[in-house]
Amino acid sequence: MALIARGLGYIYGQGTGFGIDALRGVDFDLSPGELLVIAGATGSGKSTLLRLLAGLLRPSAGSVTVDGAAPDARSARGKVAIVFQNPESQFFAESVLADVAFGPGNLGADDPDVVAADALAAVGLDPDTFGGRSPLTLSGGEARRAAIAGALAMRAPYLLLDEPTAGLDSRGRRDVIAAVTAERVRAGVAVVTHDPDEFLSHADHVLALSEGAPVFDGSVAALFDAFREYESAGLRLPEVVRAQLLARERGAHIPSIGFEPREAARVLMAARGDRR
Amino acid sequence: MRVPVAFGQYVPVDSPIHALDAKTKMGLVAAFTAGVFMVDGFPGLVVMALVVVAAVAVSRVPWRIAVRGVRALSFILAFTLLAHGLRWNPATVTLVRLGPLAVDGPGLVTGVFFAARIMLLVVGTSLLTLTTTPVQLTDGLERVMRPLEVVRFPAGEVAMMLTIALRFIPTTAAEAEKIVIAQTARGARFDEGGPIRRARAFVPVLVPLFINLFRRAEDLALAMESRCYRGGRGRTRLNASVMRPADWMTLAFATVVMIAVGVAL
Repeated sequence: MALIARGLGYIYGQGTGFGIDALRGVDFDLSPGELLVIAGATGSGKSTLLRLLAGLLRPSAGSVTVDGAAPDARSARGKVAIVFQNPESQFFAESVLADVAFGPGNLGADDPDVVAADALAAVGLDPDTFGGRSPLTLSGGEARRAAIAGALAMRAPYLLLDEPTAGLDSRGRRDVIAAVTAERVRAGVAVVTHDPDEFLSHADHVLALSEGAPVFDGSVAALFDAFREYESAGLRLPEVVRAQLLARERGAHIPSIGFEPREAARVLMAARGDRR
Repeated sequence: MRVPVAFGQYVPVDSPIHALDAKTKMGLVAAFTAGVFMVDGFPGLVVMALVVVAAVAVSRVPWRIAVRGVRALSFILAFTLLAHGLRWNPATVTLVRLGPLAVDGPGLVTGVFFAARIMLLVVGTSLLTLTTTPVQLTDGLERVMRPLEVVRFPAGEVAMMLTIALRFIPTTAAEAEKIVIAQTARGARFDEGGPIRRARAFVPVLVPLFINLFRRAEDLALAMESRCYRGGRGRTRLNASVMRPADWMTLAFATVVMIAVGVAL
């Protein structure tokens, strides 16, 4: 049981003579419990890939299957939840709770409000405090989390997020990352972003795209071994990580990479001690 | 789901009609309309039809697009024909009789005349928007409305409002499409149930659409104000539209011909 892409490709305006080759040759498997980070610069095909996975576009090449079925098949309905860029611009209900309950209500959940309250709690918004408020009164970080709760409430086995931290302040980003990484306990999560720094330490798998084609595909440990390849896609690893990788490239003995500055300092100190 | 676009959208090709100034084309449309209404027989309509056919041919707008407006009016055309052609229990001789209902020969001819007039008007006037970009059109409109400023009519502001409204049509369509996709992903269905249920299904699209539009309008107003927009007065144009001699000649010649046809036939 997994969300599987095989040889996936997409051409915008196929057959018009003005077709734009947005994506080609993408393969991966996403199982519940995994976090996949799809990284790429602007225009690398990330958002197209996400739409293909959610069944909102039909692939020009290759295939997507959700637990064995096509993503737009009836049996796959409700299996893939997606959070688009700036999802807070789609609020419509009078209260946060009613908005979050929209998805489960459409899928015929027994008690959408209870599911919605759980989802709000999962993103760190107290349902009693926030549930009754108008979505338009929320701060940027709160609104983004409430919108993500709207997707979590669908209880889909696969969750896709498009730039979930874009435009948030550092506190909002931290809250969103905590909510997203907590969700993978239940679901397979794919995060699409041009700035994957904060998700890397949580990721099982990284797929880097450049101009529609995969340039790196593997675990985070493998990514650190091949970081030059990754950077050729116009992406950059976090400076803290980069410093350790550059030291390792020059021969320092660094068995594991630290993501936090404190940890990185310890790793580098130990490496220097080894060489003496 | 695609948002439908109304007929009359600009067709970007090169033609002598495209090259005419927007004000010329507005004048031509006015003269054409007057001519079509002054004509009172089929010979006049035939001449006007030839004018329209020639204009469409010169404009290089594809015929399929040029006559698209007629389809939108099919109900009005049918109604015009029936209203003139049908008689209830007539005393005079009729073409076809079905109980008390009858199709009247002279009435039908009158109906055909009026229907043809409507079709000519639609195809002829739609050439204006088919061959003129919205921006050229509003610029021309502003110039034509300027004399009204004497009676404190805000011509510049009205033109600016029109430009902005036109500019926002594609933006709004794209936004609507985005929201429809997002709500579909949350299990919303727009194609199930009866008319009331379908209409209700659009609430989750319309509410955010309007909120975002108001937000964007406020942003735009602030941006314009912070760049010192203070209405039309004293503004100069980067691309001023100028009536060339060819414009004046076309306008004068066509106006004379149309009015002459209208008076004579």
